[in-house]
Amino acid sequence: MAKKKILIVDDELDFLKIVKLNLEQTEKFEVLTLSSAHELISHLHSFKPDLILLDMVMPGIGGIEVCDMLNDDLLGKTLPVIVLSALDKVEDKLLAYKKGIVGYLTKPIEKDALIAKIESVLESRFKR
Amino acid sequence: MKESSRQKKGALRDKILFPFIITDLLIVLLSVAIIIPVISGVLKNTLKQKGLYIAESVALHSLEYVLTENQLELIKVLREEQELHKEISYLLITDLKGKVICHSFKGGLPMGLEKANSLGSHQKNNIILLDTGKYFVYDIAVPLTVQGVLLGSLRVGVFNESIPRILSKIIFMLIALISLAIFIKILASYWFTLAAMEPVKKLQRATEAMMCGDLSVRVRINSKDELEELGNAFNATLEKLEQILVSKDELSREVVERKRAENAALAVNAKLEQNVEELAEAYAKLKESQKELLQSAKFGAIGQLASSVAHEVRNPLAIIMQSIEYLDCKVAPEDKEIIQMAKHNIQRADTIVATLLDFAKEKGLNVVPVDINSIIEDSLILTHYSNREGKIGIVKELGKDLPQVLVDRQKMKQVLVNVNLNALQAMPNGGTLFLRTYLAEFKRLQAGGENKNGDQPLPVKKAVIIEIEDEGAGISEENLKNVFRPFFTTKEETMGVGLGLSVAKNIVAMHNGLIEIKSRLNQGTKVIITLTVKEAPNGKEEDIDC
Ligand SMILES: Nc1ncnc2c1ncn2[C@@H]1O[C@H](COP(=O)(O)OP(=O)(O)O)[C@@H](O)[C@H]1O
Ligand SMILES: [Mg+2]
Repeated sequence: MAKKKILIVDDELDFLKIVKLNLEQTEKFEVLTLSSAHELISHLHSFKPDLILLDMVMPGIGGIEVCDMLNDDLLGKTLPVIVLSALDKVEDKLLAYKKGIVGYLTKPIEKDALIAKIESVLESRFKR
Repeated sequence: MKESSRQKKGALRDKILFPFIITDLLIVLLSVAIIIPVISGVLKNTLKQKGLYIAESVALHSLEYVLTENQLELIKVLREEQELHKEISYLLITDLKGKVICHSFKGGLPMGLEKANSLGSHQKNNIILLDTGKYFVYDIAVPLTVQGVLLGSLRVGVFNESIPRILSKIIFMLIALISLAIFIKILASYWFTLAAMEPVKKLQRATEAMMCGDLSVRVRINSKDELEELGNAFNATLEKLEQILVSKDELSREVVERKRAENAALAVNAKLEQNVEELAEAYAKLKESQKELLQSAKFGAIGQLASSVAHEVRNPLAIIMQSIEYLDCKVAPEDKEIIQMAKHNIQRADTIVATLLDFAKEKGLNVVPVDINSIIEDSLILTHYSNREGKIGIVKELGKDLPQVLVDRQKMKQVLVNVNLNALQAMPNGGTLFLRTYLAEFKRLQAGGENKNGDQPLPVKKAVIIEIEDEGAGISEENLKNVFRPFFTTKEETMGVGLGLSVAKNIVAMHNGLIEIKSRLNQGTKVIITLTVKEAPNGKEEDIDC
């Protein structure tokens, strides 16, 4: 089974680094991390991820705006997005779901739970 | 009443007249007493003078006959003279030795008369009073002289008796005159008094009329005195009185109206008072809600702070979590426990953040019918860690067959955890924690809105009561006022942040419940949570959370 490509967008560099390590440790995923959404679209097209992990609160371009950017992109709007955020308010969740995300996980998240969620999303994607 | 007034009428007149009469009489008596001696004196003198005058004139007449010793002529002169004057009792002429030469007595000279009187020294007139036994006589002796040569004396006897007669005549006339004067005076004064009294009578009559209700009467007094002024004043008074009484109807109407207005005012006042009460109540409520608002504003601020803090905390927690898990498979199996401990504490930190966020959350109540006892059990599991040394005995007195209560399970658990933790922390040296639940029933205070059947008994309100009692340090009265305030704590920084009870109160309030604390210093604390039981509408769960 080919490695699934995961794109992670988060402003926390340490978080990006450790999640990348954790995901790659499973040897199931190929991970690209972006600390800001500024060059998201170009990377999107070059990397062609299978799934995007997106933070909500980021300086500059926030998570919701990233969702909009993705929805405006031909490739972007086909990709499943899982939000990974410290925000756990219902309103934040609802707002994100309205933008078409497929999952909302709150930090701190256990490694296994994260991987399980990613796999379930990818599975349902490929079943379709 | 009328009689007495009439008596008074006479009395006033008499009072004025009586002194007049008395003084008049006194004056008369006094004047009589003074006048009589004066008059009698005057009379005596005139008598004497008259006698003297007669004597002198007779002496002058008879001188010629004395010289010629013509006895017959002398007697003739004497007798003529005597007849001329009634007052003269007798006339006689004496020689130098005092011997009577001739006299007017028809029946001879009375005894002793010859020597009775003689000329005074230096041959001057001499008058003496003689008592004849029948009457008093002034015997007046005058000298008979011719060119300075004394020939003898002439004596005239003048009746004294005429003096009292004249006197009594005079006194009679005097008394008659005075009496007449007094009579006239009394008449006059009576009349004057009556005239003077007339205005008084008029006033009296007018007053009587006025008393009978006739206010149109006026007195007309033209006496040009104080009484006229009095009459004018009286008229003016009546005028005023009439004016007042003429507008009596108006006045009484006004009074009625005023009374009505007063009543209205009273009613308004009562209502006002009620309003004031309501206002006070409303004000109290307003203050309360203001307080709550302030609190919630505080909470809002805290909420914002909390969510940003939560975000900032959760991000590093996420990193730590991921890092530890990354290391998990790299550590020796005996060190896995340490990894677990780290993960557990990350969860704890996250729970704290969650609590903070709960605190800030206003919405998001996820109420479901819950068995309160099960929440008690859950909360005990969560607080078990604080009693890991087992110093504290836990006594559960949980009511059986309690109705389910509509609550947010998670939040209510949070409340109980917070309260339990406080209780456990209050007993560092051990003790017993009592957990009780029971059903309470009480009459609903306000009548139901749709109380169409008026006689229906008031609906019974049911409530599940939770009591958490400890035997710990207790709370001082001063602190008891503050325990529900956010961030109020008496504990060390590591033990508490002072949010436990304020969160608990917030959550209980969201459930329309009540949380109360009773405490005695050094004896223990009892927290009582009252949750009303509502008939749960089947299947209608307000599930907001995703
Ligand atoms: N069961 C109790 N016994 C004694 N004191 C208590 C109890 N519960 C609360 N308190 C007092 O109320 C304060 C506020 O409690 P809480 O709001 O839970 O904050 P914290 O526990 O973090 O201090 C505590 O610091 C303590 O002084
Ligand atoms: Mg506490």
